[in-house]
Order: sequence, then structure tokens, then C-alpha cells
Amino acid sequence: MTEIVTIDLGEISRFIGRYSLGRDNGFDSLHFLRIKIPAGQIDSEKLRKIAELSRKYGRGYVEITDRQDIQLHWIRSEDALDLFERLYEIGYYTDMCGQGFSKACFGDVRNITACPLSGKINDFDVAIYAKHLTSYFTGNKDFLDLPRKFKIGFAGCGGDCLRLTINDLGMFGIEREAERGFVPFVGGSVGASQPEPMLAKSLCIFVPEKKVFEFVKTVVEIHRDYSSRENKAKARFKNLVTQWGIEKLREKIEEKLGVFDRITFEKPEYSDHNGYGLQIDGLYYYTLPVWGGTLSSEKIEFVADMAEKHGSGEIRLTTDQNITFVDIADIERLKKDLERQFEIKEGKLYFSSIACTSKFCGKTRSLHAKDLLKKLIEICERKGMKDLRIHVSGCRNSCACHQVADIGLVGKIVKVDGKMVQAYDIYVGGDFAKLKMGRVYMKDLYGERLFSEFERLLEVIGNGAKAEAKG
Amino acid sequence: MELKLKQKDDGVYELDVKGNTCPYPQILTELALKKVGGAVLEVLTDNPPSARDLPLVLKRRGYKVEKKKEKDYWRIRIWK
Repeated sequence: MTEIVTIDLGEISRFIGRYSLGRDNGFDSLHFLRIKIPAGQIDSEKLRKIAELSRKYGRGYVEITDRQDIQLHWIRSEDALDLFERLYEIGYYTDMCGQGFSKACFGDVRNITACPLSGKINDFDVAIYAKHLTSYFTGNKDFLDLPRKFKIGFAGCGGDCLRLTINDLGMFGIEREAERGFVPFVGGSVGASQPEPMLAKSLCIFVPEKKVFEFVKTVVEIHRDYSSRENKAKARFKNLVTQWGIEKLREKIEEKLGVFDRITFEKPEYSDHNGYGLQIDGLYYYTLPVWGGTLSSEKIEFVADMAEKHGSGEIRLTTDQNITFVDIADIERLKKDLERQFEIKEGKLYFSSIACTSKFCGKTRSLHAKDLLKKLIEICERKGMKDLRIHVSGCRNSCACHQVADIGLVGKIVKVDGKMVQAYDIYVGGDFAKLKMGRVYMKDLYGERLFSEFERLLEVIGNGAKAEAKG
Repeated sequence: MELKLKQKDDGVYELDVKGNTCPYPQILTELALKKVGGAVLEVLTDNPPSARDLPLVLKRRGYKVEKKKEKDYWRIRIWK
């Protein structure tokens, strides 16, 4: 007869469903820890605590991700409970990292992103929704087994400053007849899953503020209950949106929530918060470009010091892997202080270029995505081209959304003379706000040819000519 | 929350941690090993990173480990 022995999990129970380690497979790291920073808003005290965690458990290395998270590497599973305990104390949680499973299961709602200047450059504070919904979904057993992950973003500055349309659900804030609300964009995802990489489409309805919570919850429920669980490739929400079409999805939502007003709104305008600007309270914000989002524990402690010295102590992480200081009285003094630890440069190239963390996930060989971005930036500097956005993804999972940049690169391994070599395809002409996916310019470039062709492409763009696809 | 260990045979227990991501399969396995003492423990996991890590960690701690793929999960047999 089978005997059952029970073991009380005690304190461990509060971590299950709220914390997880992700799989690394490179640079001697077996696990990463992706700390969700809801809406990218963090204060100096919490930033210092994360610096301590990084120093103690993650070799002092810190990454800002393109979903406004903070990611640490080299995390040992035997340290996980201590780490979770310390994160629990400061009120932060992690991605659940269900992508490790081979089946379509255990997807979760990822860090909910928001305009980094929510509540600062206008009084439409969309970050409130990002934070409220994060509290609702975190550890909520009803939403821990989605067919696959679900990404949500909120824009409220009047433009798309966060690549809203790469999200499963992007909520674009507008004001209509003196009422605030959102136009939802659905079914974005630029990864390789089925049916294909695509940007979200407008549902062409107006969701008033008072219905936002129920609306988002309902859309995630629809993903949970109707997206395919046949296999991982078919399980992203975009596949359901494609199969159903916008009209059927809208009907399904309205069956649950009632009818929403129709609105003609197909595309958001592009916006960014690069450099500095004025807040509604007369103070300023300043965005510090962080190449590839990589920092050290010392640098984030320095950032915390600067946020306190020059502002309110609050920091906003951006989806371009940067840091935005808010509530600053004197921008020049802040910049002068920041120069002690950072290179202060101007130009879209520095603010808007991003790269994924491929060297840790093991999907690339040298040159890895972040290292390649650094080299490409140097080439652009040499050519005097600073008004362009470069995104580098290590693989076709498109973690750096290479299809929506002015120039995008995506890594692949090719066989050359019997040896496996790291190569990249180059894409051109992507624009997330115009809902325009980039097209392939050149394929299978490796070694010196990758750089010479990139340089040639810069010359074509610099001459104002359209870059045509080549072999 | 409770962990359920099934006694399969005399001196052989089975722990099903399917559906758990890292680091829980490892943590739950350690709790179960403490409970079963000198008996054999068979852990079932469907999480590839855990199937990679568990044998490495346990072998470092002096356990003998065998890993076998069964359908869509791994059975990891652990004993001293």
C-alpha cells in the first residue's frame, strides 16, 4: 500500500508563485534573477538594497532590461531563499520564468511597463495602473499558468515612448471629451512564435479609466482560457488574436464587460524622453543613457546618491535600458556630477539603442549582442551618425526587438569551413510607432564583413538613400 | 502549503515537483532528502533547468544520482 508522507513547507510557501530563477547558460552563470520594478519606478533606498544583493550574490553586475526590470546573474540556487527573503522585505517580486518548460504552460504576466515620466510631464499618471495590476497578478494562482507569458504596457505622455505595440496588450492613454482612458492595442510580439513576429493592432475602442482594471484582467483571462496550449510556438496571445481577428476578440471582451465606445485610432505617435525636459511642477527630468543597460553595484549606488542629492531620490528605469532622474532642480549640476562615473553623450544613438543579454543565455558566441552594440556605436561615432536607433538581439526570440529599430541586428550561428561561427542578419526601416516592421537588408554577416557592410549601410542612410535588401 | 512524498516501495520514496521552476525542485528535494533519511528518493521534474542542475548539485554533496527521461519529465533517482 502506498504511504504518503507530508512535509510542511513553512516559510517557503510565501515565495512559491512569486519568485523564481531563470536559466542562464553562459559566462559561467546558471541562473539569473529578474526583479520586476513595476512601471520602472524605484527609490534610492531600494536601489541601494539591490546593489547590496548584486554585490553579495551576483558578482556586482546589474542589468536594466527593456521591460524596466533589474536583472542579476551568477545567482546560485542555494542562495535563492536568502535572496527571495530580502526581496520580500523590500516588496519586490520576480518573473516566474516558465519559459523553461517545454510545454505551453506556466506563463505569467511580466513586469508591467509604463511611460517613465508618468505623472511628471502631465498629470495622467498611468503608472498607477501598472502598479495596481502588478499587485493583483503577483502570486495570484488564477494567473500563474497562462499558456505563455503576457506583456502589458501603459503609455500616457501622448506618444509611444515604450514600444507599446510589441506588447500582448498595450494601453495607449488619451483624453477624449474631457474624459481620460485608453485605446488598447492587442496581439503584439516580435519573437519567432506563431504565426510570425508582429506588432499589436488597435482594438479601436475607448476604455475609460474606471474600467481599466477589469478590462486588462478580462484580456488576460481570455489569453488564459482561449490561447492554444497545443505547443509553445502556438501559445502566444498574438496567435489567438490572428485566428479570431479584432472583431471577435472585441465581441468576447464586450460579452464580459459591456459595450465600449468605438474610436478611430490606428497608430500612436512616436515619443521619447531622451535628454532633459520640464516637468509640470517646474522641476526637470534627465535621462541618462546607459549603453546596453549594464551597470555595476557601485554605479547604481552612485545613481542613488545622485537622485538624492539633485532630486527627490526617485529614479525611473526606461524600456530603452536607461535611467531617468526626476524632480531635478539643476540639470547642469546633475550632469556634471554624473560625469564622474558616466560618459554623458547626446544623440538618439546613445539613448535609444538597446541589446539583449545573449552572452548569459548562451544563444550567441562572441561577439555577443551587448558587445556588438558597443562596437556598432563606435562605428556610428566615427561616421558622425548619431540620430539613429540600433537594436541587437542575440537570436530570433527577438529580446531586443530588432525589427522595430532604424537598424536591427539578429544573431544566428552559421557554418563556415566546417566551423560554427557567430553571424548576424541586418534589418532596416523598423518603426514601432508607425507599426512598421523592419525588413531584411543583409543576411549571414560575420567577422570583418559584418562591420564593413554596417559601415556601408550607414553611408547609404547618411546619403539619404533608401537601404535596399541585398543578398 | 505541504509537500507530499509517496512511499513507492520499501526504502524508496517518490517526490513529484512537476510544474515547479528553479529553485524549488532543488529546495523541495533537499527537504525530502532530510525526511527520508537513508532511503532512496526519486524526484519527478519537468523543468529542464532543474533536470540539469539537480544531479550536479547532489553529486557535489556526495549523493549518487541517476537521471532518466520518462515521457515529458525526468525521473531523478538519488541515494547515498
